[in-house]
Parts: sequence; structure tokens; C-alpha cells
Amino acid sequence: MLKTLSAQPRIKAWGIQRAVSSYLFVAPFVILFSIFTLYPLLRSLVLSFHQTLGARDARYVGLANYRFLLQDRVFWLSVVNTVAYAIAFLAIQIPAAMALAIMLNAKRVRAKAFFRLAFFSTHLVGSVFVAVLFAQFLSPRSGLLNHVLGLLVGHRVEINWLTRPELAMPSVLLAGLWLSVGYAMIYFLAALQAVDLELYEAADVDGASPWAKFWHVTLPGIRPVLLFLILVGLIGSLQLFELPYVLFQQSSGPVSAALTMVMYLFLFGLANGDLGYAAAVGWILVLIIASVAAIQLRVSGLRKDA
Amino acid sequence: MTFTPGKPVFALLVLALIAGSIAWLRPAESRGDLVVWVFADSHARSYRGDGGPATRPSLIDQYRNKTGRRVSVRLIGGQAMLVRLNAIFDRDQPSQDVPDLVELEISTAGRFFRPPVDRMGLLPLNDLLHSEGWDDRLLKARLAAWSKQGVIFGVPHDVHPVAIAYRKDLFDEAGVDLAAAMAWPDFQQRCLQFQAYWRRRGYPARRAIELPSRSSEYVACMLLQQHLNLLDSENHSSLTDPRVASAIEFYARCVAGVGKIGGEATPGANLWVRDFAQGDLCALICPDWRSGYLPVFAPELAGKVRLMPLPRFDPADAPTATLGGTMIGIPRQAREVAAAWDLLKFLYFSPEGLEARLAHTKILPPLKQTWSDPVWHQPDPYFGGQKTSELHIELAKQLPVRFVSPFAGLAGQILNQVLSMAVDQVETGDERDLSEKIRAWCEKGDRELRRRIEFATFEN
Repeated sequence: MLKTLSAQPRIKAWGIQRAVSSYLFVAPFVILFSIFTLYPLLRSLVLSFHQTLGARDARYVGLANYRFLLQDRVFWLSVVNTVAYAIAFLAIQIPAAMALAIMLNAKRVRAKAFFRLAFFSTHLVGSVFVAVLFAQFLSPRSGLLNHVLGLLVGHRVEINWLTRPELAMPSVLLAGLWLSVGYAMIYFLAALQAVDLELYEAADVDGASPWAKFWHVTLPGIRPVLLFLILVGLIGSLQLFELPYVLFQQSSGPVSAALTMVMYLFLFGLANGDLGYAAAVGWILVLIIASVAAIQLRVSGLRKDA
Repeated sequence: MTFTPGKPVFALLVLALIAGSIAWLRPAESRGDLVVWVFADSHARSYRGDGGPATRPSLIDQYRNKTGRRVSVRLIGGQAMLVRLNAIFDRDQPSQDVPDLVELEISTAGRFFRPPVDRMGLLPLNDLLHSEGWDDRLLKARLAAWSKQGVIFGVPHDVHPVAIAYRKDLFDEAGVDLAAAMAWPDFQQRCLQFQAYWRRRGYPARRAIELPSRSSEYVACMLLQQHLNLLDSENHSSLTDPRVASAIEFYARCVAGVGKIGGEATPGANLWVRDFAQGDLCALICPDWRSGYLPVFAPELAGKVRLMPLPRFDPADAPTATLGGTMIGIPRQAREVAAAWDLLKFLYFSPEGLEARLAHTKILPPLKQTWSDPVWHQPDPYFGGQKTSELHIELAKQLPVRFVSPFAGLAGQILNQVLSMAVDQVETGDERDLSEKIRAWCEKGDRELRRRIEFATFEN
């Protein structure tokens, strides 16, 4: 009798535990996610329908922020600049990183560890420092780039890389590539080393040319990494901010030639103290990035691979 | 004992635990009885006495000896200060985090002037200034910069009159008397003669003056000389004023085309001094804070440099403008306004405060009564015995009024764009109808500016 009585509450306790344990396990994440991600997201969505003075004073304006934003020539200029940067960045970064990785993966290359570290080390520096460095590198009179160009052409070269509108984005691109090619190279190198060597041997037996081996063995072997790097590079390019902001000394460059979407958010939203407008820009940015990423995933078929 | 995720993860966890414990247990920095936030290192040093004469107590120690109150001076990076002030101004209640006094820089202060006057984060100072007569003793042109609709929110730290510093040795060698140029077109001609001389002697890249080709900061100075603010105290734009287009056209012809006299300074903090010392750029637009840097960073130029007033477009223009500036204000949520005001007066108006400032910077204070002090009338050996402070005082007396606006950055960007288009036009050599084109760009920019101001204005 005594045994039966004590067993019943224990069974009940087990039942409660079974019912709530799963919730308790996920609770820490859900609570933190709700406080630090979900609530700010919803709050920013609400804010985007308000004109604000800091966080305290807000006036409901409906869709006015979005209407103004979508009709703003400067915003669309920032979109064009950012997309142009993203395309150029990926078009150069991916092949350059892949070429470096293939070279470093070759058997005859010595001191691989040194080169790996050397190429990757630029990524360790950080974009703010790179911007400061490139401001000196691109300086019209004392910059290394103009000095080297001068040696090549045989007379003094004084190109104003950072003040000529047509050279502003290429300058940012140059700095961006210097920063990130080594990073992508490491991923490619890891992927190349994971490709089954037997496939190359089989291709050799079939008499495949180096190009055919690259196209039919290497590329399919590193495809998931390739698509991952394209996606990450694309999102990173669309979020470009620190590099041009510091390179052009807290401005958007000559004739806003280096204005990116996130810079627009900062300069026209946050810096003016209008959190509502900044939130509206942020949400449009989310939509653009999500759309581009979704298109890229669909076109590349990465989702199936995942 | 085994740790399944591995030794590196274990080591990281231990390190994190140690670092976290140190951070947690470290005693918090003690808050003084009064706290002052500053963004400029030189200001912090002048208050704390860093680098000053060891024989004399620091300014804040002198204040403590006098009042028994301990002052804590916190040097906070510009951007960090803006973010923290925004957060503070959004609160209603006083708290430990709120400074008693805060210094703001003129190019970033505008954002705090966006709220309606009754909801500004800073305390109106009119009554405090007026009751003790300080408003009459301070330079009116500088008080205006920190006011909105007649309400004063900040006390100016400085005047920052703008002059031109030039390499007298190099101009003399070229036989050009730059200081004799009273008008801007004459100044340009003399600079062209100077460059032609040095070109013949194998210095083709030597430029007469530092003028950025795509940044309109100095165009704004030329407009200020003509008593034109891009945005006035009511945020009305002056972009369509014909003088704006004329100044842009003149400036564009100074940085591009056959009349080019300006060159870009090397980007980076104070690297313009190196350009100046090397003779790459032989003159500088030079507010008083900049002329104070020259002896520090280019001592080798002692005796070779002179200052001159800005040339003008019209005799009615001011021979100066103002560039940069700092104010000090009291946050609305400050705990003890009377104590904050007392400290403000000590730092900005007292003989001790002015003396400490002079020891660390050669910046002219906006208190007119101090200008007769002999210290401001001494020959400066670095400038070949020229009485540079006396020149700054003469220029300060003619200082045009500059306003602070939350939309000043926006207006500056639009001016940059118009300037850049004008420079492109001059560079191509096709200067037909340049004046008309600049006027049309200004009108378009004006419409854009008005549209944005109307959208962003938050008034009752």
C-alpha cells in the first residue's frame, strides 16, 4: 500500500517532466532570442512607421518613410553602387582565390604553410585598419600605388584615387579584395584537399586534359564551398560599410560615388537621429538581401546540396 | 579527468572564466563629484594637467582645492560620445551615467539641435549667462552657433578665426608677395606665378595651396566670409544665392584646369603638415588650432612661415571665416545644475582655466576681455616674429556668424556634389556656360535639400 502511494506521485512527476522538459531545454534560447532578436526586430518594424526623435519621441507617419525612401534618388544610387561593387567583387574574388588555392595545392610549390599564412594574414587585419592603410597606399603624392605606376611609366604619377568619382569604387574594391581573397583561398584549399585523388587518377587513365580535369573533377568537387563563398561574399558586399566609410573619412566619397546601402542607412537615418527612417531603410535592406540570396540559392541549387 | 570537447575548448573556457572574473571583480572607476565628458585629447590634457608644468596643480586639482569637489574628466571618442549622449537625452530621469558637463564639436553637434527647443537634451543657458553678464562678454558671433531660436544651449570654447599660413621662404624665392593679395582672384594669379617659377626650376608638382578638389569645406569658408551660411538659424537654404554659384565656380577653377593652384593633402591625421614641410603644398587654410600644430609637427619650419588674412571677393566681406569649434553644455538630466554651472565657469571663464588652456593650446578664447592680455600680443618666433595672436584677435573681431543646424551635413553633401560636377566640367576643358550650369545644379540641390529638411523636421 505504502509502495503504491509513493509510486503514484513519482509517476505524476515523471509525466510533468516529460511534458515540460522539452520546453525547458529550449527555453534559454527562446528567451534570449525573444529579448535580443525577436523583440528588436518587431520594434524596428513598428518604428519604421514612425518619425522619431531618438527613442523617446515618435510620431506615426504610416508608410511615409518607405515612400520617401523608395522615391529617393540617393538611396537608389546607393543600391546601384552596392550592387556594382558586389558583382565586381565576386567576379574577381572567387577566381583569384580559386587560382591561388590551386597554385598552393600544387605538389611542386614549396613553403606552402608560409604562403597560406601570408595570403590569409590580410584577413586578420580588419576592415577599419585596411581602410586607414589604403588611404595611405592610394595617396596622390606619397602613395605606394602612384609611386609604382610612376616607375612603370617613367614619370611622376599623381592620380587622385579617392577624390575622383570614377575611381572611388574601384579603390574600395581594391581594398576589399586585398582583405578577403586570402580568406576565400583557405576555404578553396580545404575543399581542394578533400577532392578524391582517385578521380584524378581515373581522369588520367581516360586521357583527360588539365582543363577537362578541372572542369569535370575539381569544380564539381569544390562546388558546395564555391557556392557558400559566393553567398557569403554576396551578403558581405551588400552589407559593405566600414571600408568606404573610413577610407573616405566618414563621408560617402566624391559625388556619393562610394555610398553603399548601409552607409545610406547610417548617414541618412542614424546620424540624423531619425530611428524610424533608419528602421525603414533597414527593412528594405533586409528585403533586398533576402531576395538576392534566395535568387542565388535557387539559381545555384545550393539548397538541394545542403 | 577528461573533457570530451577537447583541450583547446577547455583552455578557452578556463580563459573566459578568468577574464570574466577579472572584469566582474575589478572595482568600477570612481565617479567624481562632477563629471565632464570631452572628445578632444588636448582639452582633456588641459583639464587634467597632463604634460603641463609639474610645479603647478592641474586645473581640476585647483578646483578641488577651491571647492572641495572632485572632478572626473572623461575622454570619450567622438562617435561613442554621440551614441551615449543620444541614449542619455532620451531618458527623463537623472542617473549616475549622466555627465554634469559635456563638450561637443561643431560638425557633430547639429544632430542635438534637431528637437524642438523645449525638448532639447541640453539645458538652456540664457538666464545663467545673462544674470552674470557673461553673454555680453562672450563673442556674439560664437554664441549664435550654439543657439536655437534665441535659446543658448552651449558656451563656446573658442573662436577659430581662419587665416592663411604660407611658406614665406618659398614665396620670397619665387618673388611673389602673397600677403599683398587682398582679393581671391589676385591671390590665384600670384599662386600661378609661384607655381610657374617652381615648375621652371624642376618642381612641377609643387602646389601653391592645399585645397581639396571634391570637398566643399573651404567653399563654405568663402561663403561664410560673405556672411552666408548654407543653412541659416531657421534652416533656410542659401544654395540659390548667386554668391554660392560664384564661389563654387571660382573654387573649381582653383582646383582644376589651367588656373589650378590647389592640391590635395595626404590623407591621415595631420599629414598635411608633412606636405607643408616638404614644400608640396606651400600654403594652408589655417584656423588658429591648425597654426598651433605647425610648431609641434614641423619645428624645422621655424621662421619660414607667416600668416595672412583671407583674401575677399568683395570689400564688404570678412577677411576671415571660422572652421571647427567646441561648446560646453549642461545636460538637462544633470543632477546638480548649480554645481555644473560653477564648474563650467571655472573651466571656461576663470583666469586659472584660461591659463591652463593657453599652456596646452594656443586657441583664442571667445571672452573678449581676455584679448587685451599681453600674452596675446607677443611676437611668435616660429612665424618669424609675427604677432599671430594679434592677427587672430583682429580677425575674431570681424568673425562672421556661423549657425549650427541638424541638416548642415546634408547641405554640405549637396554642396560637395555641385562642386564635384563643376570640377569635372573644368577638368574636361569644356567651360561653356559653366556659370549657368552651376546655378542650375545649385537650384536642383536646393530643391533636394528643402525636400529632405521638410521630411526630417520634427517640430510640434
